[in-house]
Amino acid sequence: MNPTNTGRGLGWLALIWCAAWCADLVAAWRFAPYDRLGVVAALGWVAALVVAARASSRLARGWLVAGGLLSFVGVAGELNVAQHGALALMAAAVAGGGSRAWWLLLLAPGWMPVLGWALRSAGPEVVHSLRLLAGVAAAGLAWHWSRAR
Amino acid sequence: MNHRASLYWWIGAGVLMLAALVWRFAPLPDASDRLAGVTARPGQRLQEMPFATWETEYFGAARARRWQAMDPVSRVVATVVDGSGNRRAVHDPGFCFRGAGWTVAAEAVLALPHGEARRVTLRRDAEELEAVYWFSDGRRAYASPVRYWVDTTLRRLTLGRSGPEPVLVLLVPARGRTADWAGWLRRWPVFTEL
Repeated sequence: MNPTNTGRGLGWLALIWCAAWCADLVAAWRFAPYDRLGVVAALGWVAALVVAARASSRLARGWLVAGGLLSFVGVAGELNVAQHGALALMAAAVAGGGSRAWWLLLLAPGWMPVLGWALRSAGPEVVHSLRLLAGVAAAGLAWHWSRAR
Repeated sequence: MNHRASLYWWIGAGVLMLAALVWRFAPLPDASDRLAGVTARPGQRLQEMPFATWETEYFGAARARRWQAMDPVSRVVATVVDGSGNRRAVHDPGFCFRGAGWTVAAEAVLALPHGEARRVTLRRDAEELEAVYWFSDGRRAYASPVRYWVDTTLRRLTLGRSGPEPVLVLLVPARGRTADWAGWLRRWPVFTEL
């Protein structure tokens, strides 16, 4: 077995594990007033992740370890924000680290409910706008990265 | 990554996932005794109120009870939620109010015997309402949802050794927009002792 493929296989397994524990996001995007348009941010973000992951041949182990530890806290501690953060960190790992990983981490809050909670005083319209912006930015990055491959 | 190192990474990942599952599903004592101990004093009456179907579905495995607490001076609806079985059922009340279309027009701190509660004045169109809420583990009471998340996460990571599960206590007037909260809290220590 090619060790590089094994490493990336582990990264994808970890990503799927983290994504499975984030299934609560679907209900949040559908029903929570501050989380609407989170799905738009998520779609753009996933597109960027897919492009970045396909272009990378390595697994960034630092992000993998950080994501694994945060995932443990989130799953064992039943803490949603930790589970969402772990998913973002695993995406950074699969994207191979570097600047693309940082972009994914920067835009990840666009789909996270914690963004709505943090900006609750600003009102849902501001939060929706930020989520839309994050989704568009991520989609733009996906397009840009796909042309740069 | 060579073969042996790759194997160690896979084993490490497997152990971490297994440990997370063990911790997640380890049974912990809940606060059902505390919820069951809510009783009225002479001259007071507690009328238990049912939850709507959507509320019951929302709570899931969390335990919750709601009463109309009546005494000669006031009527207050008191809801207590124990998130031991489903911590996600307990949200920041301030956030939930905003999500339901209320604006938080004012906030104030109310002193409790073992800590503090938060009183919020809510507005929605022409409506105005006051609500009081706090989290309590029976020893300490506080209104910070961040502290609640830290306490409950720590409790689960330590398999219950860090202390009892905090419950959420939420009060709203049954009639009118406000109540004498300080007086009510003195008359109903069964809630401040939760």
